[in-house]
Amino acid sequence: MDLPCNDGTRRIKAANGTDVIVIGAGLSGLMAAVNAVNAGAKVRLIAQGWGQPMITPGWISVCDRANDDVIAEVRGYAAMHPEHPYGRAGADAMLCGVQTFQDVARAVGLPYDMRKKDGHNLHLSTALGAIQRPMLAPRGMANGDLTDVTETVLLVGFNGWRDFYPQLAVDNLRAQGIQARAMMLDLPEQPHTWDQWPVDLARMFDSADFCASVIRQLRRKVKGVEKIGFPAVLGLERPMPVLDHLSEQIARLVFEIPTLPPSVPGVRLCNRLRRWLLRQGARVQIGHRVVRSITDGNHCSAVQVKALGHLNTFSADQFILATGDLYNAGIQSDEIGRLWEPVLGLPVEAPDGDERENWYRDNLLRRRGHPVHRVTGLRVDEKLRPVGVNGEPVYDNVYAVGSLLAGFNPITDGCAEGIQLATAYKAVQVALGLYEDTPAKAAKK
Amino acid sequence: MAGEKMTMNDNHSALIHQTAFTADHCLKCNICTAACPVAPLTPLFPGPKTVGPQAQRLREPGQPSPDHAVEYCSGCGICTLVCPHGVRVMEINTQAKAQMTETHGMSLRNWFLSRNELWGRLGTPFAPLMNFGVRSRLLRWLAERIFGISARGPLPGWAGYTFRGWWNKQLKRYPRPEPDGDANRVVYFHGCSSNTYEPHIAQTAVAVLERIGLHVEIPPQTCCGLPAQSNGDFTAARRYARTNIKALVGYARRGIPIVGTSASCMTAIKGDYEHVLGLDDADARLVAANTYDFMEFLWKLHAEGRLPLDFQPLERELPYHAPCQLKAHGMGRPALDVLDLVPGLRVWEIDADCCGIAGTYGYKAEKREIAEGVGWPIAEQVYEVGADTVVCDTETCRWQITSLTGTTTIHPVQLVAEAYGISLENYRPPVVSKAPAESPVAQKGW
Ligand code: SF4
Ligand code: SF4
Repeated sequence: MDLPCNDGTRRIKAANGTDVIVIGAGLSGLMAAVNAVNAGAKVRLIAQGWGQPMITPGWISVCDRANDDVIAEVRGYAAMHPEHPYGRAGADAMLCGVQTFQDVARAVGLPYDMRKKDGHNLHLSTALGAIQRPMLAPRGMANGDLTDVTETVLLVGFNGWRDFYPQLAVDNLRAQGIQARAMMLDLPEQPHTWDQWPVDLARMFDSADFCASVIRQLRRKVKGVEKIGFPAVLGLERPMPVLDHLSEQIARLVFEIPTLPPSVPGVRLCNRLRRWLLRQGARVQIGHRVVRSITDGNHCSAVQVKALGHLNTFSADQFILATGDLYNAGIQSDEIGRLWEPVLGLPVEAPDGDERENWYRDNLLRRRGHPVHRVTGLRVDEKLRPVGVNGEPVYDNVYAVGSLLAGFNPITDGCAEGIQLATAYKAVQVALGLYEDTPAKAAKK
Repeated sequence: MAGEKMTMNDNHSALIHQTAFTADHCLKCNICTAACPVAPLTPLFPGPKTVGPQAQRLREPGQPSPDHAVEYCSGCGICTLVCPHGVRVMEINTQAKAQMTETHGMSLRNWFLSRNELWGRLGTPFAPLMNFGVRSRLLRWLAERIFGISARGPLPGWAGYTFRGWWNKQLKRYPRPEPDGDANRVVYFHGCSSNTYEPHIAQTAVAVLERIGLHVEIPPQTCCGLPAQSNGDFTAARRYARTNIKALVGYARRGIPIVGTSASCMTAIKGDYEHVLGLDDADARLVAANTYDFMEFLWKLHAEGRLPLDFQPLERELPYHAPCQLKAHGMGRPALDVLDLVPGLRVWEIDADCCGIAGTYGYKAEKREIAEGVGWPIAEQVYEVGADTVVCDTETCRWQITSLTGTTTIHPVQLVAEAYGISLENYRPPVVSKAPAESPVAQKGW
């Protein structure tokens, strides 16, 4: 991709020591922090616990429903729907957001791939054998693209491990016309009786001995097999060497299928991005919740964290809210159906009527999802600043990104990560005063 | 559970904030299990979710504890930090350990390890002898065989003098003028370690406070109680806590900040007294609200424009480890924020949850190997850059890091003092109320 992404930096150091405070440690929060660090800013990321990547599959959905060129589809959609988060961010920001994400992921040793051939979505299997269509995925998952498979796909599970049943996925894949078969491998004798979580298996794969036993069990059983799918547990600390080693030794392309939480690809990404951010001199403060803000008119000067003993105040020039939707901490609700944004008390869009009955429709698995997920969130201006009822930004230095935004359904629309990356990129550009440069630069190119 | 006498309506909101009840927020996402540094290192520990919120459903007052694995929790608190749902997993585990200690009694070894304060005091007059003891391989081997205290656990040496003794001499030699009002007063909480093992850290801290222009008060105090608490001896921990609260609350009432250089003692006073030991009263809360980690306090002074910035440049690049108990404060990394103000100095944070020692955990023979494994990422990153000095705010962590990496370890206040050009040699406060009682020059025998 040849993109008009801004690589200009602004060497600034605010008097209070922090240029940007990012609140939230999901994909949009982490990437806002990364983008701001890339731009030379002093960054403080504050979050109550780790965010969504820890429990989501790990791939990047930009526009799952696109049948051919994903980027063209988003471009068209964004132009037609200025109120949609993609419209607000713009398709260029989406492209730059994806590119900066791919760059940093590669820099920390976790390459994410898309279909190079035609720019279409990948076709990846879930643990149930449903086909999902993200644009980008960690290499181990992208290897599992089912678009052009001609021979058998072998799915591998482990006897006694209850988080992944390959036969279940195989049956569903076959029903969709994909040749597949399942196989169970043995785990080494365990010295204890408790449950194994995906991270436990991933740590086993980090060891050469364990990989060797897997290879031994598989090697002579892959005749007619095109690729081999494992649950996404192929190494925690050294996933790339493990993936390459297995593919090489078994002489088949090896891929990963998302499992139950915690998501190993998410754990890998969060751990590595944290280390990267620390090395760049950013602060990563995970564990305490931002509960209040200090504002003066339409300017926010600090946020306060619920710390031990007393509130702790953190000042900055710019604030990026990446606190997530109703299912995260970004929007709170109560039993009578009130909805509020807890950090700055920003106005929240709510389903019509403001009562809980209006939040849901009767059918749980409704294709378009439930009103509460589509409608609820913050409305923002074209600079991603949350606006009040009058349409004016409430604060001149507060931006909202990711699933906190109103106007899309992060659960059903198949674009959650794309929006997270796009808005995290754009918000940082605007906050650091780099945004105005972009169109000019694009014109130059 | 514990609240039979409360009706749900009366105390609903209060209850859900109590440690045991935070277990009800658990979604079983296992993010904590993925983050726990101990779980991957031993088959004896299934991880925070299992021994914490999950086992909590089966823990009833007066009933036997459902599982003993919780004993392998180091109490580092990483689980509590990473949980996105506000479950206080570490605190639940610590309370479960106390319940087990109550039922099964405490081992002599754990009693030993939880009386840090006593050993510090008793050992001081016999420092050379004691230091010989902790360095003797034979004696350490015996201590491991007989008591289960790891021969590799990094025990400190006794300084041979106490910080309090030094301070009293200081006050006699250089009486400090009594300030008007309370605005420029500060209480220093030295903790056991800085009194008897590393008095130079406390001396440095006091010198920095005086350089800033504050009047330092050092009331009588005792162990923060954390070693007893993490060994499940809540009775002793509460006794220590009460003594400290009593000694400090008068200052807190006057709005005088209480600061300390041991980030873990400060965790105890600010948080554990309430969330773990359940001392939830006005005095405890007032003391907690007025207590600051030393570097947090300096950063606060800076935010208020009260920190002198006439630092001499220090051209150095150093790795920094944020102790797990410091992370629990929720104050960010004030040491890095403050040291960023020193020209030329670049201190960066090592990516590591915990050094492994977790108070007294890493001194237990059966847990020493786990502790070394937990701390290993620190060693890797230190080796990677070839650093010879590591900065860290808590004493046991510094000793552990030294034992893992062979580097010198320092408290961030030592860098602040260096940047201020402070020397402890013949220390003389910037402001003295009357002429020194004796000439410091004569003192030194010149
Ligand atoms: S304690 Fe928190 S992090 Fe752990 S499983 Fe429960 S909700 Fe998840
Ligand atoms: S306190 Fe530390 S050792 Fe104990 S369960 Fe939590 S993360 Fe694991």
